[in-house]
Amino acid sequence: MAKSLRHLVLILEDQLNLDSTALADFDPTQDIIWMAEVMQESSHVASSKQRSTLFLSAMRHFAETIKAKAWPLIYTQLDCADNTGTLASELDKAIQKIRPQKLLMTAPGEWRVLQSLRAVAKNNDLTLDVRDGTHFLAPCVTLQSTPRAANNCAKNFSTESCVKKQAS
Amino acid sequence: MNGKKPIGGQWNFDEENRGSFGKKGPGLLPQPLRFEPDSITQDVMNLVNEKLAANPGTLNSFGWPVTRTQALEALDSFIQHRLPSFGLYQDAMWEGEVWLYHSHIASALNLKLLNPKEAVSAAEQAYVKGNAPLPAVEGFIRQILGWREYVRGIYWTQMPEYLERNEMQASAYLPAFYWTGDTEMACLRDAISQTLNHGYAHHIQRLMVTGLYALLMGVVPKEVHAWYLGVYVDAVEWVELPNTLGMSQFADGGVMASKPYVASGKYIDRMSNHCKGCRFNPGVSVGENACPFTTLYWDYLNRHVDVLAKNPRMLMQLKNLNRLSNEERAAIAAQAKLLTNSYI
Repeated sequence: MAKSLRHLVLILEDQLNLDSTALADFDPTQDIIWMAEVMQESSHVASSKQRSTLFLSAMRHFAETIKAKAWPLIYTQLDCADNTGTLASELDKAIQKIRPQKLLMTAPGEWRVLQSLRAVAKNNDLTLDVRDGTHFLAPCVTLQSTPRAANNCAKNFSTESCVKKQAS
Repeated sequence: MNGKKPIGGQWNFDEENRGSFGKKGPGLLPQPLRFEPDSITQDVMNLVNEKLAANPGTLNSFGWPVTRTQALEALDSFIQHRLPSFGLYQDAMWEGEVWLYHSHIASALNLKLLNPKEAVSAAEQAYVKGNAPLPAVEGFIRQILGWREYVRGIYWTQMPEYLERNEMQASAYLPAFYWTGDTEMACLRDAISQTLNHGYAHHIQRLMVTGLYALLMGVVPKEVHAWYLGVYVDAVEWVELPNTLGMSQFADGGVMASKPYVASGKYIDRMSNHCKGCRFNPGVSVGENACPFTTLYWDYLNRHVDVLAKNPRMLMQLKNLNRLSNEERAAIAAQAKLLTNSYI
C-alpha cells in the first residue's frame, strides 16, 4: 500500500447497514473495514443457536455486500485457526498488522463492547471516533436532558460526536 | 397529526388493543414469511451446531431475514398481512401458535438491516391508504417511535450501574426448565419451547409468562437478563437489559416502569387457552392443583407489601391482598417456599 492507511472502520454484528455513519465518508483507497466473528460474543451469555446463526449469517451476508463493492475488508471467521476469540484481541491484531491513523465506528449496542474497544484504542495510542447512529430517531444529544443523563451520555459517547451529528 | 391534535382524537388506543382470541381460537392465521437458508446460512448453521453445540435451543428450522432485501420483504409482508389485526390481538396467546399477528421485524431493526423510519412510514402509509385501522397502526408506531427510543435512552444514561441493580433484593436461581421447556405449566412450556426452537416469543409471552414467573419467584435479575439476552434473536443489550431488568423484573426501583407488572395465573387464562390443557388451576393458590403463578403472585405481594404500599398504582392489588386472612397468607407463603425450593 503506497498511501498510509487512514481509517480502520469497525463494523459490529448489529451494525449491518451500508448507510452507517461509520461509512459516511468511507474512501476505499485509504480506509479498511474490519469485522470479526469471535467466540466471546457467543459465550459471555450463552447465545442461542437461533440467535448465533442469525448474527453470524447476517454478518457474512453483509461482508458479501462489502466485497461486491470492492471495498477492502478484514474479516475473521469464527472457525479461523488463528482466531483469538475476543473483539479486543482481534482488533488489536488488525491494528498491529495495518497501523491505521484512526479507528472509526458507529456507537455500539453494548456498553461492555464500547469499553473493550476503547481500551484497545488507548493501548495502541489511537483515537477511536464513536459516531451516533442513524437507526434511532433521537440523537444522543436529546438524552442529555438532566445533569446525570448528560454526564453518562458524555461518558458513553463523545460529546464531540453528538455535536457533529446535530450540526450535520 | 391533525394540526396539534392526534389523528383519531386520542394519543393511544391501548383499550382497543387488548383482545383475546375467545374460545374458538384465532382461526386461520396468515402464514409468516420465513426465508429458506441459503448456502451461507447453511454453513453457519453447521458451524453453530459444531462450535456452539452446548448453547441453548435448536436449529431444526431457521427462517429469519439475514439481508436487507429479506428484511424489507419481511416488513412488507407484515404490513400487508398482519398489521390490520396486530393491534386487536397484540396481547393474545394461543397454544402452539408462534407467529400470530406480530411483526417479527425486531431482529432486522436491531441488526440495522431495517431503519425504524422505514417501518414507521410503511405503517403510516397502510393507514392513509385505508388498509389498516388506526388502533393497530398507532400501537405499532408507538412501539418504535416511543418505546424503542425510550429504552435506548434508559440504557445509555443508566449504564454501567444499571446492570447491577437488584432493588427488590431477589436471590433465587433461574429454574433449569428455562433452558429446556420441561415444566408442567402449559404457558411456560409453550413460551419457552418456541423460544428455544425459534429464538422468538411475543411481548406478552416475554413480559407476562417467562418474565412474570421469574419476577414472582424473585430470581436474581442478572440471571434473568442473561437468559433474555442469550435466547432471543432480537436481543442486543441496549434494548434487552432495560426491558428485562426495568420493565419486567422491576429491579431498577421504578426508573423504567411505574409499578411491577405482576398478575396471577388468571391473567394468562384470560389472554390464552393455555390453562385449559394445564393441570394447574389459575383460580387456586394453595394445594395440589394451585397454579404456581397464582401462589407466587400472592406471595410476591405479601413479601413486598411494605415497599409496594408506597406505590399508589398498587393500591387495588394490595387491597385484595388485605382480604386474605393471616392463615391464608401463611399457607401461600409455605407453598411458595416449597415451589421455589423445588427448583434448587
